[in-house]
Amino acid sequence: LNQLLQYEQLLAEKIQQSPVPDMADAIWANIELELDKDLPDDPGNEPPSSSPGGGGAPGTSFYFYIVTSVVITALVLTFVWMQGNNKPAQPSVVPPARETPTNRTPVIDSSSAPVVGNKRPIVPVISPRIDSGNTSTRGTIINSAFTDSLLNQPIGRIETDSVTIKDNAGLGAPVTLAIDSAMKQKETLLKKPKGVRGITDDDYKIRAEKKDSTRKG
Amino acid sequence: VILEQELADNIVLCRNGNRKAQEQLYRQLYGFAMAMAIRYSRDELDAGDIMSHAFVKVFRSIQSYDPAKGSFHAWLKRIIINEALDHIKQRSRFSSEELEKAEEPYVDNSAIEKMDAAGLMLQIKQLPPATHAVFVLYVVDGYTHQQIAGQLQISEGTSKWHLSEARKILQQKLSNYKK
Repeated sequence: LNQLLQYEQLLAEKIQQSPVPDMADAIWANIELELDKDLPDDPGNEPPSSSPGGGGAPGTSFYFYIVTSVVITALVLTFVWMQGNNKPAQPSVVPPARETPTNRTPVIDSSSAPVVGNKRPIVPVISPRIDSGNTSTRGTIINSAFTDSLLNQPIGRIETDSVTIKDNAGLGAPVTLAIDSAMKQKETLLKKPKGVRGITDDDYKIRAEKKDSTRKG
Repeated sequence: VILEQELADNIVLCRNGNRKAQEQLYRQLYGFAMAMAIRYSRDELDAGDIMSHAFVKVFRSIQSYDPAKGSFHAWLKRIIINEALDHIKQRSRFSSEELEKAEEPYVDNSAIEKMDAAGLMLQIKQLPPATHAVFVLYVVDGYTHQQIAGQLQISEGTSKWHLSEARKILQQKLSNYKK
């Protein structure tokens, strides 16, 4: 046993009689909180529920229902509002624009010619038409992007009988023509020259001749 | 006898994790435990911290309590004091100075008799934390210097030095109070 001084014995007796502060409820709340962390899923530790909605203090389920319903309502409203904002804009009714007729053949515009004095020089409009007489060689018009003016659909590779079309205006480079289907059809209808040169249809005219034998007889 | 039986029943239920029994056991031992906690703490909030941590440890390790080795009060006392000393260790360092024998300054008993328990505790709480702990362990809770040294992981000489420091400071304070 410790050898206490006389005043220490008296002091120890007095201290052990000192009252304790009334903090039992507050301290128990902390203890319970810590113990709940250890056993979160143990149903045996849950206090009896005040309603069929679940456990917890009386009135907890009521607040739970209110908070849940408010949250669900807010979610639905947000969803509806977002749907309204995400709707594509109503397409305005616009009459389909008519296609302006485009030149089917390249035209050298005289307006682009240099002005000499006050007068603009007259420049002939040259339409590079296919001259079947001069285009005896077979060729191809390659146009990967021109479109059919009638159907407004892209037309791929078109082969023509009248082959290479040269620049009649003397521009030096082959001219790629945009040919619509109607013109193309017209061209494909052109027939090749038949027969032998120098012999016309008239040469094959059949004439009815009188037979002398019938007269003689 | 009824209280002892009720205590034993609650301990059995607490081992099964019964929350009601845990609360009953806590309330049954609150006065005993709080009186100890308040002796080692600076204020009531500090004592509340010591209490809550100690009782959580009690309920978490109640399976290891063996009635054959000692009473439940003794087991609880050790847990409360360990928790209190952990709090003191967190906020203070123990001196490395040592003494062969603690000094024994004379203090007139009349000064202590005039003071109430709260006034005395106030004087003790004004000691440096480590010195306060050693003084309460030695004088109030009856620990020997050897036990204090083992508990606080200091030498016995250091425990004696802290006790001497506490006695000198208290002698001065109580002498001033007498005047």
